[in-house]
Amino acid sequence: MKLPSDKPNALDVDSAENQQLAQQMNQALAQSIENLSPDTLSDIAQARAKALAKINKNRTRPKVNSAQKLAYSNTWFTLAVPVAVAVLLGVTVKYLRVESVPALPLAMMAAQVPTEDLAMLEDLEFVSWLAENEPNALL
Amino acid sequence: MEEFLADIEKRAYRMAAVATRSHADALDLLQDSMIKLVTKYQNKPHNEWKPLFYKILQNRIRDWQRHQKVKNLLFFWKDDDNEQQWPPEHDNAQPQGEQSNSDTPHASLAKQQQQDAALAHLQQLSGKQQQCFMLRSWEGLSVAQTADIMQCSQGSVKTHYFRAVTKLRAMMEQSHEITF
Repeated sequence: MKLPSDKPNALDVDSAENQQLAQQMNQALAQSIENLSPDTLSDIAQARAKALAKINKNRTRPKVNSAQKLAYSNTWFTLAVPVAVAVLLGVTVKYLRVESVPALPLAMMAAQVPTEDLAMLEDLEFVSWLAENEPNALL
Repeated sequence: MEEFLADIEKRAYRMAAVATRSHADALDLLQDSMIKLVTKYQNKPHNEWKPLFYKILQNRIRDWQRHQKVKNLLFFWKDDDNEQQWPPEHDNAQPQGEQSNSDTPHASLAKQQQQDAALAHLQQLSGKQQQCFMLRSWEGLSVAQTADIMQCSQGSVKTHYFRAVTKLRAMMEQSHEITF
């Protein structure tokens, strides 16, 4: 007598039926690649050739290791840094030359400006402002 | 490396073609994967090339599928002009002279139809189910290797494989190709 558990289980992926199905699909896939057209095969071969060309390209290009990279960058540094410093110094000196700084009025430099003169100047300024604004003044 | 690529290229092309349904896209994906393998991983041990190559290819296929999804969302009013007849008719034509003498034309035609139907069923599976089925069943990779390639857990691989087999079985039974 057959028990229900003896029945092939459809849920079992490794069951004979499922294995047969997988085999059938594999055969179909295998046949499909055997029957690829010459055009398709040629396209695939071209794709492979392009990929392999990258290997040859990498082989012909000399390998630059990190030490060489550092040396290369050092060369640049040894050239670029002095040039940059020289340019910077040149520009700074040019703009900070003594002649380029405008001289202060001598009167302002003099420490002995009398305070009376300053008061008189302020009065004079006020009077001139008053004279200018007199016509507009509302009385 | 050349031998390895020559050995694997047709199967890889078929996988890409089943996923993309386009000869041109499948070729692009294949070429990109080959270039990535030879430029980045040629110094790896030979026994690692196969899983690495399939990992690259499956990543490319997933990226392609994502792009297609976004493209279809953005240009929803456009017909899919990439939709080509696939597999191309000439791909299935058996090369002349290779037909075995024992195969009668009728048997050959039946075989051809069976093959077309099997591929059509395979295309109706979801992307992950297709990947999983082809890697596990056709390529014979282990669950762990498939999980690594598909970047998912081994449990997910088993689930995808089980669903793929169930779906294929249902489709084949429906079209009376097999009876259990």
